[in-house]
Order: sequence, then structure tokens, then C-alpha cells
Amino acid sequence: MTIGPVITDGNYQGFLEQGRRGYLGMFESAEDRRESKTFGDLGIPLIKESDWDDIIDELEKANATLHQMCKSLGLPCLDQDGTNYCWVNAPTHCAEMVRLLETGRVFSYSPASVGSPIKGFRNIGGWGSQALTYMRENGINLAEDWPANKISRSYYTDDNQEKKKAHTVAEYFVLESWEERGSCILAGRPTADGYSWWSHEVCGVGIVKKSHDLIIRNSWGMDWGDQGFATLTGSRKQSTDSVAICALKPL
Amino acid sequence: MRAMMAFLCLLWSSAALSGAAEPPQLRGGNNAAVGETIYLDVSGEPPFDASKTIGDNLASFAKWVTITKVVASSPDGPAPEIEPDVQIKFSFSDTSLAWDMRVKFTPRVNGTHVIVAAVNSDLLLHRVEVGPVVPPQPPGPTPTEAPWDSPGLTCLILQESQSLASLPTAQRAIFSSDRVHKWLTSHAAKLADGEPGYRIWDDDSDDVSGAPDVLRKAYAVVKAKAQPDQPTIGISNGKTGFVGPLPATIDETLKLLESFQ
Repeated sequence: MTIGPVITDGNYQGFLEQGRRGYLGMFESAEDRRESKTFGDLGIPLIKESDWDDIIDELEKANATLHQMCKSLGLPCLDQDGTNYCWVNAPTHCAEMVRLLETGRVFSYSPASVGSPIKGFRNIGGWGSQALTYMRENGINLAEDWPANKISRSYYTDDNQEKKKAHTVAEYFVLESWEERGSCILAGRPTADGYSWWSHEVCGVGIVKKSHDLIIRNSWGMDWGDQGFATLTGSRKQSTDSVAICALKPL
Repeated sequence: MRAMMAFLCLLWSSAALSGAAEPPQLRGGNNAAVGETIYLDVSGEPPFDASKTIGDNLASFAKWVTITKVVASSPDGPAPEIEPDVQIKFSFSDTSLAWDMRVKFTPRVNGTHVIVAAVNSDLLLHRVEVGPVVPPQPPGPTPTEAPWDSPGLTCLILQESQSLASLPTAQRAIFSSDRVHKWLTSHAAKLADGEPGYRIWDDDSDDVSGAPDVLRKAYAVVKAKAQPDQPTIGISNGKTGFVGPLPATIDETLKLLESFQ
């Protein structure tokens, strides 16, 4: 079953200007991409696409798909509001979902605490891997310490830099095929997917049974789509690049 | 005839159990002394079917194939002996067979032992208190039956993120189950930060320095007993607990957790 608005090859242009975007690409250079671990490097087993329907069926019956979990446990989507930080919002929401899986608790993180130091406190687009690398090396602040969309030097304090360290990404890896993306999602890890056609990065959180369309979660607020969820179909679901966060530093 | 096999896994067939009138049970005494052997009855075995030949009945019995495991969670120290004990009796008068299955259990250390049998979709638990509990001998550490000191129920599940895709879907669903998270959120002890004392962590987490003390202790215990590529659950309520393989389903996990409530 699709969720939220269905974005197709025929209607996608209507979604281009609905909200702020800012995705320049996942990797600024081929070298950046080569330096990142891949699904294959880590020896993660694939789930064959021919097995997906049975898995989706079982997860849905158990109310245990990622999107069902977000709704049941009350994890809201992000709202990048007036910022061009989709390239931070997508991995940030992935991190929030991983924390939800680890603790059952809703952690609200601040994309601005990652994007602003990277971009010199300017509201401009960026590369997805920049956000992930920063989150791995420095961490991310809770929104209670650094408001989610506040691009301001006043929050770049020693105290906040120290607090960030409790919320670092332990590792992320690159997904190189549709089957890897589906395997990751069905294994219970959201993906951060960049789309050049959309100049936008969002989270991949589910697969639709039979059609294998992609359920995404956007960062345009809870009023967009179904609590931020929508469905990408056809060639729209083919991302330019995708990554996944394995785990965060235990808390 | 009596057959014994010295291993921890006790297997029997789901097909064989399908004709059982009642759900399987694990019953027996709850007390024992170190070195004393007690027997626990496993009910739910397939009944003798007079419409079949002796050979078919024996074959059915022999096919007590397996999805069921029996393990013992025990305090630190020498491992207990646990093995199936099977008896088959032949009646010459009506050429019938009767059989019985028991679990032979011999503890080697004092404390609370929990025998866990997973039979089809049922998770059977049986607690055996082995005593007397030796009073603490100063200046050594106080013996504890709990896997770790805990201010109430705390739980830690370790899983290997990179192996998630290899797990059976029903087991993988435990991690994202709202029922499991909601149960733990409402029943786990509130720690110093006011948050529930449970976590699901990657089993190769290098740095747990940011976690609450009780969960860091739990990590050391559960990590030491974790099996490669197999999720492990640790539960402590401060008095007793369990560290062993994560059950196969959401329902079995909740049943296990509830037994330590």
C-alpha cells in the first residue's frame, strides 16, 4: 500500500518547488566516494528482491516496518523550514530513527548544528557525505541545545561542541544498488537518498508490497504528505546516491 | 529403553505436536541442591496412533525434529548438565507404545537457574532454585543471582547491525516492534536520567562510556556471553535474570521479559 502522495514520472515536476531543498550530491568528488565503505565492503548479506514481499508482509503484520514504528512510537519528521539543509536533514532523521530503534525514545536532533559549521553559517546547499562525515567526527546536537534550523554562530559554543560528542555516528556505508537499498530498509535501517532530479535528499523508510515502490520520509514538516511520508514510483525512486547509518555511539 | 543425549538442544517435530490436546508444558520441581539431579516433564508429545504401525509410530517419535531449543541460564560457575531423557514402553497385551520425555537437569552451582524451552510458538520457562545460597564471605564480592546489579528490571539486547539481513524476519521484527519498545518503556526501571533502563545496541560497540552505569555493566555481561552472529538478550531485575539467545519472535520476547517482571 502506498503512503502519502505518490510521486511518479508523470507528476514529479509538481513536487519540485513545494519546499526547500539544497542537495548538491552525496559526494563532492569521486575520491570522497571511494573512501567511503560500501555495503559490499562490510560483507552485509543481500535480501533478494524475490523474497521482499514475504518479509514486507511479515513486518507489516507485526507492525514493525520502519514507517509503522515511527508512527507508533511518535517520531515526527523534520521540517527544514527556511533552510537549504536537506543534505543534513536526511541523515539527521536517519540518526533519529536509529536512536528510536536503540532506545524506544524520541530524540530531536538539530540539522543546523551540523550544517552551519560546515557551511560557515551560511544557508546554502551541500553534499550529503559532508554531513555524515561531520556527524561521525563531531556528532550532532539535540534540538533543545541548538534549535533545529537556527543557522547562528551564537550556538557554536564549547559547551555545545562537547555535547555533540554523545551523539556521533559510529559508521555509515554507501549503497550501490536498488537491491542493497531495499535490503537495508527491510533489515531495519533507514537510508539517506539523494535525488539529482529533485535536488533533494530524503530518507528511504519502506518498500511497498508487490509494486516495490519506495516509501520515503521528507523533511518538509508533518503537514506535508502523510506525516512526512510519501511514495516514489518508477524511475523517481532511483536515487543518485544512497547511504545508511549503521549505529550511533551508545547512549 | 532409555536414550540420553548430552547436549543442550532438545528437538522435536512440530508435526508431531500438532495432534496434542494441550499446549506443551515444562513441569517439575523448583528446588534442587548442587549435584542433585531433577527431572522436568515436557508434555505435548505426539500420542500413540493405533491406526498406524509400530514402525510409523516410532518414526513419528523419531521425527521429533526441531525448532525447539532447551537451554539453561545459570549463575556464573560450572555449567549445569542438561539433557533429554526419553522412555519408550511397549505393551505386549495390546501391542501399543507409550513414551515420555523429560529433561534431566543437574546443577553445579547455587543460585537461580532458568530452563527455557522454545516449542513451536510457545516459550516454556521453568525456574529452579538451587541452594542453600551461601552467605557472603567477606571480604570477597557478594554472590548475586542476578546477571548484574540492577535497580529494577533492566534489559540489554545486543545485535550485529551488519548481520541484521541474515536474521529471520520474525526475530528482526523484535527490534522495531512497538509492542516490545512500549513494554520495556513502561516496565524497565527508570535510571538516574529518568529514562527507562533498556537498550538495543550493536554488539561491537567500542565506546559505551556515555551510557548509564547499569547498562555499561550489562554490556560487559551480555557481550561476554554473546554468540557470533546471534542476537543476545540480557535481563536483570536485581534478584535474578537471564542472559542468552534472543527469542525468535516478538511474543516469545515479551513472554520472557514478563517472567522477570
